[in-house]
Amino acid sequence: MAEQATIDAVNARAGERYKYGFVTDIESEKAPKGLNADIVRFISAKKNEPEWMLAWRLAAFERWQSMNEPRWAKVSYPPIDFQDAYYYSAPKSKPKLESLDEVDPKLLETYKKLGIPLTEQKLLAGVAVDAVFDSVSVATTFKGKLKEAGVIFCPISEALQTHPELIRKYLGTVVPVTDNFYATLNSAVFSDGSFVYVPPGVRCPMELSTYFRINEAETGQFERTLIIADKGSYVSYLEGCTAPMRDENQLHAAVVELVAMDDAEIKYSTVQNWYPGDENGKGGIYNFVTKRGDCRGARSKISWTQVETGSAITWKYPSCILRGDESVGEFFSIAIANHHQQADTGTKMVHLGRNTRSRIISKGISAGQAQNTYRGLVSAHAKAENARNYTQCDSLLIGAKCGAHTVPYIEARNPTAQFEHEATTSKISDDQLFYCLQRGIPAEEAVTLIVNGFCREVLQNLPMEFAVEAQKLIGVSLEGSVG
Amino acid sequence: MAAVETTADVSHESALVALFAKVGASLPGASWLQPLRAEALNRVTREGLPHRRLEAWKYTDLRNKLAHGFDLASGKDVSDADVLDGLKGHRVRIVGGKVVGVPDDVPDGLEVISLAEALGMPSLWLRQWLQPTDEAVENLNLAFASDGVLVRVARGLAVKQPVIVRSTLSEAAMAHTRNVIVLEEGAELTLIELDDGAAPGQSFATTVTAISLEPGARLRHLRVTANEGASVVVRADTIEVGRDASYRGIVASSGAAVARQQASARLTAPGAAFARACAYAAGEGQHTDFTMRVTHEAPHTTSRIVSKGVAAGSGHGVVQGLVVVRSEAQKSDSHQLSRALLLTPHAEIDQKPELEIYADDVKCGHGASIGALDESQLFYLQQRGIPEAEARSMLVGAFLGEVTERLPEPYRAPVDAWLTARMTQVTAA
Repeated sequence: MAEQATIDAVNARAGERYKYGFVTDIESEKAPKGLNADIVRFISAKKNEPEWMLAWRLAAFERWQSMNEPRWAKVSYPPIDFQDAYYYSAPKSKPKLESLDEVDPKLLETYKKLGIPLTEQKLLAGVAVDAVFDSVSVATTFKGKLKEAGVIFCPISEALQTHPELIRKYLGTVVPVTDNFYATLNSAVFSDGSFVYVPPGVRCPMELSTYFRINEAETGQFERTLIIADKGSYVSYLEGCTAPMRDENQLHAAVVELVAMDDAEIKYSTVQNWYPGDENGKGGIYNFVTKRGDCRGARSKISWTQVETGSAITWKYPSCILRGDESVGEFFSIAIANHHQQADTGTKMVHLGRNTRSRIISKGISAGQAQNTYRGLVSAHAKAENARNYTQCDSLLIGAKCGAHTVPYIEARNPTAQFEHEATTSKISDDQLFYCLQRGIPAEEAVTLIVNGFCREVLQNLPMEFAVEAQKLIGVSLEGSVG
Repeated sequence: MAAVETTADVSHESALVALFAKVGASLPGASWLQPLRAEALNRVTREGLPHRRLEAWKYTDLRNKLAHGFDLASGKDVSDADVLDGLKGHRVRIVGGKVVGVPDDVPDGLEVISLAEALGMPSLWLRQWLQPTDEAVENLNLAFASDGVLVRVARGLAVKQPVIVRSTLSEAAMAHTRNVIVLEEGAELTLIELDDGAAPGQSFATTVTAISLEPGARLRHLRVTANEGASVVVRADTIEVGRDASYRGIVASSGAAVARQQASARLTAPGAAFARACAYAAGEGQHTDFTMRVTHEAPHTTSRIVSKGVAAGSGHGVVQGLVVVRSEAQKSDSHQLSRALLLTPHAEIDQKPELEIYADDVKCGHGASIGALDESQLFYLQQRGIPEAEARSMLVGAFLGEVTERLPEPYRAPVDAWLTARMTQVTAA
């Protein structure tokens, strides 16, 4: 009841404000171009958000205005005009759907083209899909089974209505509103994303999966994902991205927050294959993402696995804060940059608790004229007794015009910490290639084969469905890099 | 989030400007040098002294560590025996930034002269080494450089005895020296440098050394930075290695409040080789920083960087190594290894081994590790009746030994003895 009262109050206030200076019809599917406090209010009102959420967004927006874009990454791009973009757009709005039959057939057609077998999902074992089409989640399946287990898996906008207390408790506790330029922007204007809560002692009965897709022209996407694994629970989350061809550069600034309590485990896997721009470096997505996991409880574990093949520019450092004693952080990454792509990606393992362990395996592949950078931090604070890290980052160069860079920061403030770091850079050896060619394997296939071998340690950590897709993706991403 | 550090407080820089106004005219150098000095100081005041917001100075906040209002050192000598006393060689003595003794018995083809003296001669060949750069310490040094040593080895000459340069600063003041070392084609030299001195207050010494190795030249370089107390020492080397030339350096540092050794090496022609091994022991109140940048600019070039260090008490060790391989530098071979031991709580080690590679047919790698002494090794020694303290220093000695064992005799013994003594002090703390 109280919730409804809050919503009504917000609606009333929001309506009031529009009367005086903001002309856009609240029913419109798109906010006007540009970004100001009214747009933030519009987004919040559109989502029927409680007042504290609006205040939170506005505080973030105020903060964002005084921040500067980070420039330290090894990527270059023309200045972004943040006023020349839409910050909200919804697909043809319809009330909540009961079943897939009610979904716009055109939408289903698009998914089909992208290879997302949404209609087959119910038949396929164990994968529930929360598909985000542009900014609003339009279809969620397998809710029943999850509900039985007590797992909450829904769009974050929905969770704000149904479980505001959980959101309020956890949102922004891993990636603070003030964290960095893009995270702050996201906090102000985030559109939607997934919310997962796994109650104590529950092993999530299926792998949770979300396909993000950017569709409407010139629409930045600002997903916000929050996953909480309560004591002794386990969840595996899959995130996959595809996007159609387009010319305009698009900004994507997502924030992902993971919280693992005592004995909980979160496995987060990503296959990212957004439009990388054409062979001449025209177009493509700017992917400036903040992903961070907080191993808050003792013996908790967070594992990031990523296959990054798309985007014109990737700026992404999925990190683990190892706060709980004996917590474990893992980062497995394959980053492929071809043509004119630029990737600056890596991780941070911040050891705060006792007996914390972390492992980093990073495989970077550069081809064409791409630049691929691994940037990582491993640090042990004074109280991190027996912190242990092993880092391996290998780079593979295909062609003489690309670049591969490694920038590791290793900081130890505890004498019992033990850190090891290894990095190598190599190319596909002529011997390997010759061996394959001799056996009738065409050059391009041979390269894919060898690269798959190079990446094996990471591919092994992907869930099965993803591993197959990822292997194919590696081949597709490297098209045109040989010969 | 911390606000971007403003340079609103410019007391450091304005003190430098005031000092330059006072002493600038009395610094040595032909008229052409004065505008270069002024321009260099300009750049320092514009950018400010290096602080931690600059990536290269992330772990060494020089601006914050430096006291205000230094005067230039007067050249007071309180020298006693130095750690390399027993070594035979062509000795150069620098005190408080001024050359007070150069060898007069050098063989034909070896020139060892003071910079101040050289600047008094109508010669322009020095000009290329005395230009403002985009590096704050180099600019500060150029603005105030009072002297330095020039060493030139003629084509094909292999100098038998080492050139030994000892530079002492024992005053709570500033001293800036600038050295130029040129080995002509096929020349060979062993260069030994010793920095020492302890002042009653904070002292601040910078030395910029330009090393140029022409085709086939070979330089063996040993440096011991042994300043003590509140000394702040910054060493900046620029090393250019030509075709088939080789640079092999060993740098050991322990004792100063702040000791930063930065080196920028360029491998400009095929066959060029660069190797540097660093050893450090940072004890209570000591900060040791090795920052290296090696650029492979030509194919078939080789670089090796090794660093081994220990930190104890509130000691802080920093190793940053960047290897850049340009797209022309195919078949480059580079390896970097940095290992460190943290002996006590509150000590800190930061390492950043970087690779920046633009060529595909290369062999590049790095390894880094940080850890504590191996308990089982310690136990093994104690079990055999060796007291714990002794066992510890034995193990630390063996750890650092990987660097000093590269030294040939007669250089190894005195350096080992010095390092062992320092290490014992550091580990005892």
